[in-house]
Amino acid sequence: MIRHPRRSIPATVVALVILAGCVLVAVSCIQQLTGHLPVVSWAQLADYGRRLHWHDARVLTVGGIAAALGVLLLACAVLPGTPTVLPLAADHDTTDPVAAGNGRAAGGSVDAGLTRRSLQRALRHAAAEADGVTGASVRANSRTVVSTVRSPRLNRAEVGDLVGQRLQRRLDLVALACRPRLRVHVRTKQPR
Amino acid sequence: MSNPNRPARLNRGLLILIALVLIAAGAFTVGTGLGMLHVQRAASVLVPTTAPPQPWVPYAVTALAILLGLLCIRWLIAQTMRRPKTGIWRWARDPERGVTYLAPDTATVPLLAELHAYPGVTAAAAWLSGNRHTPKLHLAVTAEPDADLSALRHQIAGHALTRFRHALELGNLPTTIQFRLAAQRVRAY
Repeated sequence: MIRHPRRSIPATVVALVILAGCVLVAVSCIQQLTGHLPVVSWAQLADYGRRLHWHDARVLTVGGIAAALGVLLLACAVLPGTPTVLPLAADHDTTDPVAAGNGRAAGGSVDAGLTRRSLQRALRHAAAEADGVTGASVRANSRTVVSTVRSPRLNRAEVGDLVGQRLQRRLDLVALACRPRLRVHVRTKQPR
Repeated sequence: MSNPNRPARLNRGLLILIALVLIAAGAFTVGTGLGMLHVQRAASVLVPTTAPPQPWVPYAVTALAILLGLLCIRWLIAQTMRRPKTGIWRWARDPERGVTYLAPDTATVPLLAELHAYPGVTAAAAWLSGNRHTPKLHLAVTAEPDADLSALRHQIAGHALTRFRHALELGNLPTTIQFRLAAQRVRAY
């Protein structure tokens, strides 16, 4: 099971913008129909339209901006983004002796995943607890795990190996579907 | 829709639709302005007529704007509904003698109790969606940060889920389990 972001932020922004436009149009139409002074006067708008030509720079700019926004939204919708849930290795559930022994079908597939953020947090915790490490950060996705640790020790290789072993142990317990490549960077300088 | 990652599909579909409308409108405007499209002449004005619109036009525009606005509000509300959809199950093997209704949240209580008792599990939630013939189970399990997830998964699939299926008389129950590792060790009492 892999899950990608829900694209809630672009969806919310677009929905709010369209909603605002709809409110503006509805309010000014109703004002016009009831004889009030409208927020947006259709007569003025039509007048403006009669003075604009298709080849005017303003019209071309607006058209270009609309197309660019469209491409941006399309990218938001089509690009999957960093997964929020990473798949775990397929278990031998379907051939599970306990389930099979009961004389029933094993009962369908179990599809499991692990939230990426919680994995990152657990790995960061594991790296920070290694001997000689004063601070750690971890970025994890389905293919790579990159950890940057700070250490006052001068022997970077030793610290890196230690952290790498700890992270690998943690990753083995998790058993992701595809084993991510593990990289550890050691910084000996303390950040100011 | 028993999609556990609501409203991802809805957002994707609507964003693609709106993006295509924007791209089409932009391409039409630029194409016409640069003389590549010949639906309108590039030198003509945007609004060629001076006649006032038909009397029904403002009403139609108002109705359309209100409808579209309500749909936008529905879309915004959908952002807050993230749980998979569930519904009441109904058994009517012998309708004259009675019908059994089962709320999915009630059905999952014993399952959750069992999951909570497993070592390494700090929190669990379950959603039983679909109907009795095409059921789907979504589990969200929070485990201790140093838990052995494969062992835990094996235990859940082999014991808890088997028992759950037997209790509900389900032959086949596709299940998704979303694990989370807890921030720090939480001791269960």
